[in-house]
Amino acid sequence: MNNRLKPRGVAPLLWMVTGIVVFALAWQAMSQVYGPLLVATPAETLEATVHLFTSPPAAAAFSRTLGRVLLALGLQIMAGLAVGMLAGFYPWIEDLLKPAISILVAVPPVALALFVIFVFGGGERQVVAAAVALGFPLLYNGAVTAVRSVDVDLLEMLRVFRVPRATQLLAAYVPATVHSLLPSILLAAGLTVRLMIMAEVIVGVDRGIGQALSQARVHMATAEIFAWMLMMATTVLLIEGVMLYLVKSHVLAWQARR
Amino acid sequence: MNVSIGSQIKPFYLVGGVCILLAWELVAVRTTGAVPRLRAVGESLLILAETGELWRQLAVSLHRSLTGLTIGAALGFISGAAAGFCKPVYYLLKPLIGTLLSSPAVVVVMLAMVWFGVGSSMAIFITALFTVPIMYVSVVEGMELIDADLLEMAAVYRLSRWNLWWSIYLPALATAILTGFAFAAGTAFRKTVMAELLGSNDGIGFAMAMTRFNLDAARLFAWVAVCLVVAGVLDFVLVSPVARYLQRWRTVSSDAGVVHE
Repeated sequence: MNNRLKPRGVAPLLWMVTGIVVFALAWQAMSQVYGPLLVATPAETLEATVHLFTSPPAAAAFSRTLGRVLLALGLQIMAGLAVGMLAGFYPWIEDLLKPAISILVAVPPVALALFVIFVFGGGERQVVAAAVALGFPLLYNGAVTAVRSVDVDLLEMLRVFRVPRATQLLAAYVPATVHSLLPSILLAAGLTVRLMIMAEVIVGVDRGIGQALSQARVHMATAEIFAWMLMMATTVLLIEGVMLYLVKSHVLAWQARR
Repeated sequence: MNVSIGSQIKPFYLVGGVCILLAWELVAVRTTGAVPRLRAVGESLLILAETGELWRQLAVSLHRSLTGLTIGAALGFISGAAAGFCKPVYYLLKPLIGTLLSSPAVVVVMLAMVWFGVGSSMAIFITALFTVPIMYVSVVEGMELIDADLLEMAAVYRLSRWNLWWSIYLPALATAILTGFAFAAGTAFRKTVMAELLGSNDGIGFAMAMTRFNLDAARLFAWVAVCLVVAGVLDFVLVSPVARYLQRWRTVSSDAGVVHE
């Protein structure tokens, strides 16, 4: 975001709090109009959220899904980095992969989840595989761009001093790529959480937030759905916050070393 | 990202495409059943086209995405312009937009199914809701890009209100709308399909869900092919030209279209 929108002083914070209050009031009004069965009140939602945090089955579902997300994210990063760097070095590989990447980007994610059911059957590994495939293009594109943006002077120097290729790779390419890949990883983290829940719901995997959600819908428990929604939004924001912090400190350290 | 395709067709690009088809066929032959042969997919597509099913469902889905996109883009533009002109509005809306951007769409679909039941209004609601932030972000960023120096100059030269709008704000807003629309269009179609798949009685998403019950993989892939064609057409007529147009003016993050769910 641009400089002019950087929050300065307390006023922005006050407005944000006002925004939340207005939102909660509007929500309360909606539940008054449509009844608490259709729109659970903010208080009920809060209660349900607390309930979710303290109930063992919900916690189990949450940690299960989070585990899947982290696994998928790790695989995405490794695959994206490996394939993306290759494609960054050799443009012909990029051309070769372009149709496949275009398809992955263009296909509706729900369709890919169905595809997974058809071809591999439903299951935990399959859901993770679907999320990896759907998140892959983001990191792949990031890695390709990152490799292309490696400092040319540095490379020139490494070549002039006849530094071995392996050392070149480790000393110049990997740090630079990881460094400029961090924003993509940040985006991928939030995306993977959403993709994972989508895949869990569509594929219908046992244990996990997807299943909990489906059950809540069957019971028309809007408070519980709201609670999951709040919880997921918080989780995504938290993951992004932590990663943003890591990115910032890492980038600063990286720049300081140069 | 997609810009270079039109200028020259690279041989490896074609090889890559052919490789996918070959790999597909190979897997189809080896697995016998799970993955349909390309021929079967083609035949399914032909049957869908001949019976009119294809056009009927496509029309339903396109109509829903277009309606949702129009509503969502209008709301996104209004709120984006308000936030761009008035900082407090930006911060006021920040929690709401943030929640919307980080909420998994399926969760909202579940809620919408409780509220609207199964059908058109649910799909349109979902489509509209998830195109709002895209247009909003585009408009807010577009207005941020309005050159502060240019505004200062306009103030110094006492540019009339009309002139200020005509030559500074309007071009910036028009570009932002164009960008937002181009990126939102693909999202709109995908969200419609998702909403239909989970709760609808017609449309492409519903047709896909039905293939699951009928265990008709060939037909599923035929529908996937239809979705790819729609995405390709959107990219060709909307996203690529807009991206090319923008690249002449500023470096645009062409990844913006990639992040979806």
